[in-house]
Amino acid sequence: MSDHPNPSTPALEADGLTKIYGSGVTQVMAMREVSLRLEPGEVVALLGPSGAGKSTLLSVLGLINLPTAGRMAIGGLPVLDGDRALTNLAVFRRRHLGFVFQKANLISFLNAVQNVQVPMEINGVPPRSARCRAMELLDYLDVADCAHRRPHALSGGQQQRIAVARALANEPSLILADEPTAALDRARGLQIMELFGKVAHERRAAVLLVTHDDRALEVFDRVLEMEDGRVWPGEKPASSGEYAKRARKRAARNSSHREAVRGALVSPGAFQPATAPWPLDDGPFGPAHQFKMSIAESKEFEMNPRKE
Amino acid sequence: MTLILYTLTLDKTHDIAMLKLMGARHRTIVGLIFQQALLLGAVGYGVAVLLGQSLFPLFPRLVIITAADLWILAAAVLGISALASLLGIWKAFRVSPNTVLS
Repeated sequence: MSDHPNPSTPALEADGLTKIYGSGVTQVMAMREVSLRLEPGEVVALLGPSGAGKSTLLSVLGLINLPTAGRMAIGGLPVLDGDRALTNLAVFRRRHLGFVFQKANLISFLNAVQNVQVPMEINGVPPRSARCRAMELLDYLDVADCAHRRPHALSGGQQQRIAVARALANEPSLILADEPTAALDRARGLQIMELFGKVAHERRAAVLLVTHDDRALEVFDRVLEMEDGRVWPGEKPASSGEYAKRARKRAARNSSHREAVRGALVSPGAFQPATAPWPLDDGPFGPAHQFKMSIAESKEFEMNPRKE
Repeated sequence: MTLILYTLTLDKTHDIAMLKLMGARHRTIVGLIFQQALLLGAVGYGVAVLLGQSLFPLFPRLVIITAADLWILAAAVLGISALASLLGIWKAFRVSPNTVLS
C-alpha cells in the first residue's frame, strides 16, 4: 500500500465512528456513529455546545484515541477499522496531519523557526532543508521577522501564526484546529481564520475547525453541528447575529434538559425527578442504578445528561 | 540528580506531549532527557575537577589524581547520569499526546 495520500480522493472519510468510554454502569457514549467527508481545500467548521463530544471527535480524527467502532481513511489511505489501527498511527500523524489548538503550544525552549523545524526533523528532513522550509513558511504567514524569538517574546497572534506554520510543516492533507482563535482578540482572531482559508485553498489541505467564533463565517465552506455525540450537516449562519441566536437557543435547550432530570435520591437506588411524580426504578437501565455509586452520599443532585 | 531530572521532565510534560502528538519517536524523547542528564553530569564533573585541582594542594597529605583516575571518574559520571535519567524517561514514556488537548 502506498503511503502517499491521493490528492483526488477525499482528505478525510469517516464512517460510523463511535466512541464509548467506560463499561457497564459507568459507560458513556461520547460519539455516536459519526460519518464525515472532507474534500481537499475545504474549510469546515464544527459547531456545538460544550460537552457535545467535539474534543473526543478531534482526538479520534487526530489518531490520538482509537474509536470503539467505525472506519476512517485519510487522503484515501485506510487508517482505522474499529478499534484496530491499520498503520503506525504516530508515523501517520507525523506525515499527514497538522494540529492547531486554542493555545499555540509552542515548545518553550525553542525559538520560532526551530518550533517549525521540529516536525520536519522528526519526519527525517535534514536540518538544513528543514530550516529553509521553516523560514519559507514563516515568510508565507508574515512572521519571518519573529523567526529567532522565543515564544514568550511573541504576541498571542504571532504565536498562533507560528503554530499554523508548524502544522503546515510536513504538508499535511488534513489540519485539525480546536478553537484556535479563542484566546485572541477580534482583529487577530479574524486574521487567523482568514489564514486557515488561505492555507486550505492555496495548499489544498482540508481544515476541520472546532470553533465558537462567529467573526469569520465567510471563511467556512461548510458547517457541521454536533450535539450529544452526533454530527449532522448544519446550515451556515448568514450573520454573526444569527449564529449568536442559534447558540442561545441551544444553550436554552440544554438548560431545560438539565432541569428535566433534577431531583433527589429518595431511597438507595430510587431516583425521584423533580418534574415527574414517580421515582425511577433501579432497573438495569435505570438512571438510579447508573448513578448509585456516585450519589450514595448525596440526597439531592443534578444528573448529567451526557451520561444518559 | 535523579530528582532534578525527574522535575525537569515534569516541567516539560506539555512539550513532550506536543512532540508525541507530532509523531516523535521514543528515541527522540529519550535523547532529550539523556542529553540533559549528560549536561548535568558534565557540569558536575568539570566543577569537581577544577575544585579538586585548587583544593588538593592545600590538603595536609599529598593527593595524586592521575589521568587514568580522571577517565575512570568520567566513566562513573556517565554511568550515574544514565541511571539518573531512567526515572525521567519512565515518566516521559507515560505522557499521553492527549495532554495537549486538555
